[in-house]
Amino acid sequence: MCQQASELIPLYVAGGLSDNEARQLQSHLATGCPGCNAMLTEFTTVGATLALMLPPAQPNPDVHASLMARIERHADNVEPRTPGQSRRWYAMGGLAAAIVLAVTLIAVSSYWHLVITQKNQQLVAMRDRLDAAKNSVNLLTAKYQAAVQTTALLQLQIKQSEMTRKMFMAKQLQVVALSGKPVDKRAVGRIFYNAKTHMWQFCAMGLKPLPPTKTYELWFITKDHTKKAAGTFNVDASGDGMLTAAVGQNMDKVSAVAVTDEPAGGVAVPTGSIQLIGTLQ
Amino acid sequence: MSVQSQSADDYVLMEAIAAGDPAAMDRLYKKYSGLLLAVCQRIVNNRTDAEEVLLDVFWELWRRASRYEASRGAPVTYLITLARSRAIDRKRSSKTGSLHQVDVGELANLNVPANKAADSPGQAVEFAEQGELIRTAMESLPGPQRKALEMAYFDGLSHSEIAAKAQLPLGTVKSHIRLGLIHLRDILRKG
Repeated sequence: MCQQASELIPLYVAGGLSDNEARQLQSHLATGCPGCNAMLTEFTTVGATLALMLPPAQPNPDVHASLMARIERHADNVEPRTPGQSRRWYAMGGLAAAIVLAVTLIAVSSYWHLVITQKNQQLVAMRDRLDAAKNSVNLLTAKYQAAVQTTALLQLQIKQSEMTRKMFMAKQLQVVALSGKPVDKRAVGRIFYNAKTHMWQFCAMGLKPLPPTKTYELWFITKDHTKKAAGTFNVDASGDGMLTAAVGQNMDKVSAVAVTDEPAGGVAVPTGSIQLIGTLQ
Repeated sequence: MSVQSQSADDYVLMEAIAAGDPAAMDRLYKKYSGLLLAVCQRIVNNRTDAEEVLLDVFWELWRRASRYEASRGAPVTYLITLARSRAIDRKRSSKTGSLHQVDVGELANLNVPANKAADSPGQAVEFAEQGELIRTAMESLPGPQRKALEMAYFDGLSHSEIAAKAQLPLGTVKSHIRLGLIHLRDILRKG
């Protein structure tokens, strides 16, 4: 641009540039280019120097008088450089600075407000995910505990099945048949007793399921009519139930076995009605 | 530069005028009104209009002296440039402005001895010496360049008007003016 400007400046001083060319040159000069501005000053001076070729003229004294009279009348109509102009420029500069500061503060405030809002949203989302994770953990814990209980129950059932198998395989196995007649002829029971291990197992079928407040209880009845509680049990929907236990009492002293319906938890002395009964041969 | 050799008083006067000192304006007027009137009259070719332009130039100076920047050149350079600009404006807006409409009676006033148009005898000598310097410089220019510069600076013609009057291409006119100014600059640098 300086190369181009150096060719334009002489014509600019002489008023020979188009409006577009003049604007371009003025834009370049406004950047403060020292070389081009110095060139402008020099050529302006050269052009002004041409006026010295002219013979000076003598103005009419009225011109001087008119000028001084006008100055006296409009003594305040001056654009002073200092200090008023300085104050004005300082005031304008201060106002501009205040505006820039205000705009900057607003922009910064808006930015941080947006950042904080976004962070809050992220925090809420993280809390939601944490709550969901906690719920998942609780659910998995419950499922785990249920699985543990189921495993324990299955292990018990396996143990019972093993005991039953052994019992059935024992040579000393004795069987006591119980009948539900006359109360319920559909109900039957069996006691499988291993005389060697003193283990017995009671199985019932066809009994009516009881409400939660009641239970079935097994009784051993001795020859002297003593009724000894042998445990409680409940039946499933099909009426099947099972009870396995070890008895210290020799079955030889037992003359009969009965099942009654009793309050939940069992009783020490039978109070309910006989559901099953069988005698030993 | 010849105009740069003007006394440092001019800068002080400009500062004082910017501060609203009528006495400073009075001194500056007496020092340069003759020179500026010559410029205005050479362009507008009408005494009355030239004096009106002269009054406008000094009145504008009084009102806007703060716009003068010393970095742009000496105060006299600023005054001459301002006077030329206002004279050209007046010529282009005037219906009677014409190179050939010069009143004979007014012509007599154009040849005022320098010592009556200057602020002081010393000032008159200085003007005369500088005038001779630039006149010599102009005479050293090639004819086309000198003629183009005279038409642009003293007749107040636009470059297009010069091209039409001299029957030359506009580009040629611009080249003459540009090279003429460069030539003058180089001469004045040496002087």
